Amino acid sequence: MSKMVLLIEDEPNIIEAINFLLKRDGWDVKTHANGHDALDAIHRNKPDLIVLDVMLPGKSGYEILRDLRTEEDNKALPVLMLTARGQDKDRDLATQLGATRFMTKPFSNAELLSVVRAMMDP
Amino acid sequence: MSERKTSAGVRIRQRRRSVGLRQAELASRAGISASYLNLIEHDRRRIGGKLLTKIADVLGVQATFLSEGVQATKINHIRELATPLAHEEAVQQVEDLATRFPMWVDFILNQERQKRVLEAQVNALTERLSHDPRLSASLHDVLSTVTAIRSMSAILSDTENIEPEWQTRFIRNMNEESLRLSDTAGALVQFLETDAKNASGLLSPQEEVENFLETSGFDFPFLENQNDHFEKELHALLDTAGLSPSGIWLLKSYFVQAREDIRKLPLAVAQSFVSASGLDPVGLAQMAGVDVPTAMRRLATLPMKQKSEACGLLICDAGGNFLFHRPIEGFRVLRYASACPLLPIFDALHFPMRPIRRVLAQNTSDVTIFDTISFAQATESSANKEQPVVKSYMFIRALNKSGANAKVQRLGPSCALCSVKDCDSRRELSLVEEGF
Repeated sequence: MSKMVLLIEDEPNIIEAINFLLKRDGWDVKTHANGHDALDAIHRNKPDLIVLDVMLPGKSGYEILRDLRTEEDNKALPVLMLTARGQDKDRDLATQLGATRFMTKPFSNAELLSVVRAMMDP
Repeated sequence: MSERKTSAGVRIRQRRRSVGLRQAELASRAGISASYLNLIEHDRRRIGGKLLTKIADVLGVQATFLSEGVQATKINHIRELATPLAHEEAVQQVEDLATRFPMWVDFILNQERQKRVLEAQVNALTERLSHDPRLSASLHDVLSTVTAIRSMSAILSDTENIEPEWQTRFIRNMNEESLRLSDTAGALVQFLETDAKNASGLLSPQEEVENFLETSGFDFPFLENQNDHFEKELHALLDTAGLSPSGIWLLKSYFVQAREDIRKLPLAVAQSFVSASGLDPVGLAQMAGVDVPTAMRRLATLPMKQKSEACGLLICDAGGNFLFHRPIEGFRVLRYASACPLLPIFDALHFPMRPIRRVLAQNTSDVTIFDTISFAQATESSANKEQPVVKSYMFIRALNKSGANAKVQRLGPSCALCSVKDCDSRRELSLVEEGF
């Protein structure tokens, strides 16, 4: 059975593109489009990896990540943060809160696939 | 008379006259009798220490300017500027420089002033770029759209044997995203161009007005005159203010309100109260029979020559949006980031017509303490009598350490810039404190 990626992102066309890419690459993909109940979606789906956008309606990706890392079972769950802001302080904050990797939009498909593969099989 | 031979008494008298103060007024604010000030001004009493500092504060100059003259003040200033940068020997040569090359000294000091103005502009622009919600949202939209287009176009070009259904979907999506990108980029350019046309650069209409008032020192004699030429003089001033249409509209509203405040609280009444009781808006309101916001606005916008200390004023509407800000040094108010909800100006909205006094300090490391009085009031709306206009006011004075016996509430300019831990009102992580 293939490993599952949970994509938490609110832009429909980015969801569709990443969903297509990751499925073609052999991963099982679930998607979720808002921040406020993203933790429920994580608990429900039990993904092997999360692709998490920062700017989400209801709750930011930073807050979701911070809450996720307080859970004993999810302290080591791989999380790839996606953000439209590439400032050092955003990267530092994501790392400080426990992000496994960090990618700045716009990114290339090859870069995304390469990072996901590396995170799934470290 | 050469400056070296000019006495402190003469300098006090010259400065007092240049700012338009009578001897009795200056004496009263400095806490001495007019006859004693007269003796000082005629060099029949020596002056120094706290009294010199007090008089210098009232006259809006440094004490060294009164005691030693403008040349000594300049030398001190240059020496302060040079100390962290220059070699000790060079610092010792400052006096020689000032004596031999006075025009170069003026040039250096002018450069320093310009540097401060530029620093303030850089800070304002940095804050704007970091926190302006319109700019931030536009850039986020652009990057998100570009990400979607880039990803979908790469899928179309790189994927072999892509199903026609997916091909159609991605082409349709790319068309949608390109239209969105076109709209967002157009709106962004329009936003930046509009700001570029503002006389003061990247400023909101409120900032334009506040800068204009601050640059003028809030000193508009035509307001105080209360004569029939108000409309004519107002329009002449608005025509030459160099503000955007929104800025002119706001500035006009400010002057109409200020004229009404002055009618209720003429300069003589305000001055006399300030001389006797200091900057106490609630006391002034009681004494003059006006509402507290009128007294706050009047005190906060009195020119510095009419009061012995600076004060600030913040006004917000019922939605918590800041409408007006007269800054006071050391107390930061961010216009583009969400303000701290613990500011008493917001508490006052829940307790209208009740003055709330609170002593504040921004962040755990700041040493400046501020005495604030907040007061909210509803006024009848001419457009909708069933829905009054609610505004809240926060009057701010700096306290010296000895005056800070009250309990100090510590808060930040915004959550991101706040170092206070264990705050139930925190909305986002702090960027200035380790451990978050």
